[in-house]
Amino acid sequence: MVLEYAQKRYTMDEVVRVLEPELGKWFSKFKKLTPPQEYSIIPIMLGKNTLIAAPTGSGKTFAVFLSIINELLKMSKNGQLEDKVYCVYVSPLKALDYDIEKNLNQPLNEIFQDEGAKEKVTRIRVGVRTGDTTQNERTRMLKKPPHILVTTPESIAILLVAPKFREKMKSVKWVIVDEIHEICSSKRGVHLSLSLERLHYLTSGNIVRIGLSATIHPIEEVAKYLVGYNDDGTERDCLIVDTRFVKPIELKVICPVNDLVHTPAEETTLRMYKLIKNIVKRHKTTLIFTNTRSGTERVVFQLSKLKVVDGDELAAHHGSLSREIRHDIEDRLKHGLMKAVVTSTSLELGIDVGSIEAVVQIGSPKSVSKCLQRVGRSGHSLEKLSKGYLIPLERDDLVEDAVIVSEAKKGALDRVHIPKNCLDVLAQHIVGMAIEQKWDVEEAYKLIKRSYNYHYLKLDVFENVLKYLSGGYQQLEGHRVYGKIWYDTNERKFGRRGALVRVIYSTNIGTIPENVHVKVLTLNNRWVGMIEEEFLERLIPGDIFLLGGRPYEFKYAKGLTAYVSPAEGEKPTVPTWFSEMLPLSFDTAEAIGRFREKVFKMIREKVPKKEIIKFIKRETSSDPKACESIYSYFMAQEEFLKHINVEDRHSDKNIIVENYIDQNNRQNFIFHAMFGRRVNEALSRIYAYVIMKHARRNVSVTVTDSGFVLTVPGYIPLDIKKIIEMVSKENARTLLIEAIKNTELVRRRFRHCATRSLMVLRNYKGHEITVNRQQVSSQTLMTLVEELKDFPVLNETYREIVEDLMDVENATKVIEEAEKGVRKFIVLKPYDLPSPFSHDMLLTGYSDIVLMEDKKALLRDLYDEVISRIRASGITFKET
Amino acid sequence: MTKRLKIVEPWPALILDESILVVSDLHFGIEEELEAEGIHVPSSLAPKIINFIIKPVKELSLNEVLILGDVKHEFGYPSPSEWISTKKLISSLKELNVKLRVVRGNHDNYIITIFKEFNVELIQPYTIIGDMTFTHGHIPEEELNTTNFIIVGHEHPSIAIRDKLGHIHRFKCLLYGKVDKKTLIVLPSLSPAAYGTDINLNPSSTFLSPFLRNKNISEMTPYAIEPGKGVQKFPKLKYII
Repeated sequence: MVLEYAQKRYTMDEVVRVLEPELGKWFSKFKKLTPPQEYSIIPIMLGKNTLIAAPTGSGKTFAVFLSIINELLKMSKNGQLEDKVYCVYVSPLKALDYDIEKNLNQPLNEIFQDEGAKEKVTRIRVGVRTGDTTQNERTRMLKKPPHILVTTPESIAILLVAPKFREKMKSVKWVIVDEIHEICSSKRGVHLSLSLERLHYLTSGNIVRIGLSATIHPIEEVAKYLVGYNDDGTERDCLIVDTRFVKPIELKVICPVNDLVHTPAEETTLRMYKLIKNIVKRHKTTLIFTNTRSGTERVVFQLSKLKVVDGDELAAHHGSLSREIRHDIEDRLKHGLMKAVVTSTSLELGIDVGSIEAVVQIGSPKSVSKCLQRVGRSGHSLEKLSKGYLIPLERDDLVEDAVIVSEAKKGALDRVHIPKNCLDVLAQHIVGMAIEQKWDVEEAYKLIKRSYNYHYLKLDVFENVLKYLSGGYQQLEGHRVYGKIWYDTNERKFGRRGALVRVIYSTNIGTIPENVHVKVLTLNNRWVGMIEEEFLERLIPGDIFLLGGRPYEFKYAKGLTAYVSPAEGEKPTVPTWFSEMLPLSFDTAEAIGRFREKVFKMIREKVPKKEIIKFIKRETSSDPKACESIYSYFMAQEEFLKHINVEDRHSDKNIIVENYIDQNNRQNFIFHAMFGRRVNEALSRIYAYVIMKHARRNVSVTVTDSGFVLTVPGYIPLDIKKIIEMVSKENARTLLIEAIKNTELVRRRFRHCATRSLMVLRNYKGHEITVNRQQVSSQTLMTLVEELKDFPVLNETYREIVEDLMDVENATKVIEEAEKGVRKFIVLKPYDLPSPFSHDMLLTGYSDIVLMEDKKALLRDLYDEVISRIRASGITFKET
Repeated sequence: MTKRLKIVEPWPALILDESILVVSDLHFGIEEELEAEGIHVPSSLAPKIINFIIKPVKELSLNEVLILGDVKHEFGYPSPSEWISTKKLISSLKELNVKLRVVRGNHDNYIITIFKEFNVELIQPYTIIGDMTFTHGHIPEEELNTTNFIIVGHEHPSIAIRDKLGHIHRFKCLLYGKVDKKTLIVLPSLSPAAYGTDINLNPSSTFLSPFLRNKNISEMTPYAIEPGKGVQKFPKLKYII
């Protein structure tokens, strides 16, 4: 047995008995152990790898540090505590690091006040090391290293190659990974995993790993991620303390209006603010989550207009604000001075914010886990109730909120996706390892495979990365040879090349991509706001778009500045574009599918409205207005389907495909695929690609959480059933990769991967390379590397897109189940109206285009388009 | 386009009098500039660019190539790969017994050594063949004594067209038409890396070339080119939004 659930609950007495007397005395001022403390303090003292999953405010961090400080105190008293690092604490947030430092120093001060009198006792030191640590502090830290080092994933990777400091880290005994649920699902987590293996190697395998997690599923996978593998291929031991559901939680869906389908949006919004006003009034402090940063600002603006609270007691908190402002808000939150704080994601994690009594979620939290994480920020101690109010603004939000609450009540959680075999992160670490020492290929490969994320990495793939890093793909003669490492394929050894590499590594480390922001100014240089570069790429002069709620006409762009003029009263001609929207999870989406089935079944069986509403209320804890709205949304869809004589209804098994012909005579194939966005991103591209092949036209792809729309210009007879049948579980992945080649998406992601792989440097020879320059160059690079066989950076780009951004695994499962007849595609006849369930989808701007492969035909099509536009504008035009 | 001058479909090149291939802006060595900035370019553009010249030369059995400047990319002394790529181009043409002449561009500093070595004529700042002036295009017309028909490079024009679905497509383009009473042809760059200016989206004040900057170019006709795939003539710029 390698993964083991903690069974034994220790009592306060048992714990105090094993603590050093000074610590025990200090600790006994707490009356009672919390559940995670009961299970974890003693096993950690015994040196067991431990993963603790428990809600915020359950004292899990405290439990871990109590055990470790006890061990350090013992060493100190025995005169064994040297000037070395013994414990490394990693969190994804700098703010959390500084908070932890404060929270540790306070008890340490109290304990060492008594102890300090005795001479030989060394005080346990705590130190924070992040990207913000000054050179002075670093020097001081090297002279007197902190016994407990509080840091970030990026800083660990840098410290591992710091020639002197790494010596001080050879003594590390404990590594604590906080907010592991947040870290493990991203490339940052993959990066950290390899850093842990390198640290493991540095300490000759003597580290104990402790993970701290909020609600997450499946917990065993996260445990495996934390501990990794032994060289014999078995998982390392890990004790799992599962106290995820120890805190009482109350969730409610409240709908601003009786009928979300027919009420104008302005009225819905107005009523929502009134609802929030009431909630804020009733609670000491309310934390309000929106799904976007711009939403955060808007909500604060409206609430302050409504004079809900005094100006000082209301604030926005998000990543674009300066650190000072954020710290100030956090401090005031802790001291109970805030009445309401509006945030996007920045307060989702970490720092203890005390007085929050209620959480409001505007729109859908998109997954049960996210919902519990956010609502869990309220009700400070374990006994206190966490209270969450979910307020939907759109029809699809409403159903999502309702089902999320229903699933949460059942204790169903969404599965986390942990990226695997990321070659860009691997490249970064290989460079780091090469800086440390000379390596045998096999020895290095063995180290990499200990990581959960790389356990199944193939040797030849690993060797391709070595080849890339050593400049082995170079073809250009006379060209300054690139190479971060040297790689001797005969001796099978590799190592660092050149003196610059250390600097390159340290200044280019990390996994978080920079986004390109474009300034928007009026023609007389007045500031309007920022848009993303990808959005700019879609604009041509004359387009009208919304920014900060106002319409502007795009005039022209110069570099990274877009010039506009206000277009008050005009309708936008291009849809607003959001890149970073939370995706609805596959599991929650499927639950929505099942919910749809149940409701439609009742409707078809002519169950009275009252009964159906009762069912919805019971299932989803929705308020009467929400229940009423859900009912009328479903009824509207029912009427539509009846009207066009369709027998089948929406469910998790039935995928209804509409063929809606719009006013521009475009065919829109609307797939009601209730599988969440990541799966739909994949499915949509696959089918779009097959359609493109058949119709020989560009196909635009609009992806949402509850389905996707494939738009084909002009009427072309297409047998969509046949097209669906051409996709199988065998060809799905290949079709998907073909589909995404030549899209905007690949170019964007390639830049990220090229930057992570140190192919495109952000910092070089002391100067920073602008993101814009990186972008320009990576487009050129793309065209070049496409011809190289198995080039790791490009392969990684495709992998990242289909596995991490999209969910090709579950998409393939859906396709397979359709082949087996478990799921069913139901294709409707062409019709000139879309169904109510597709309205939200059609309002979304397109995500991507699957482009025709025949460039000559594309040129001709574009010519025809230009001619028809000229004709439409009434200009007499003679073709020459 | 004219009796004497035609586009060599599907390449970003012109053919004069059915015997001379006219191309522009090769920018050999752009990879090195990128590497110097910390951007690793794993393979080379040069073979592609050379191929864009050799293919039409072979297919049409031409006997002369005229390059309208910017053979190399670095402003300074030629880098090793610029040397090698330029030599490769020269020797490939020599093998085919094709004469090469180059009009000097603003990037072509110090390149004369290579050309001398191989007897390639470096013309500056322009040459007149019949009634046509061939020049790179970085020196303003006022400083040159041109004819009424001018062929230039330098700008790297491209065109952006939005399709029915809202997607914007970008192509290299050749421009042809009347500007200030003279007839002007602007060749696109031969390099896949150099896309340049979207001629129909930007105000003319932002253009690089003195032949186009602040000029009324609405009477020019763009020819969109996807190298190796196709060429499409579009209506005059004044019609294209």
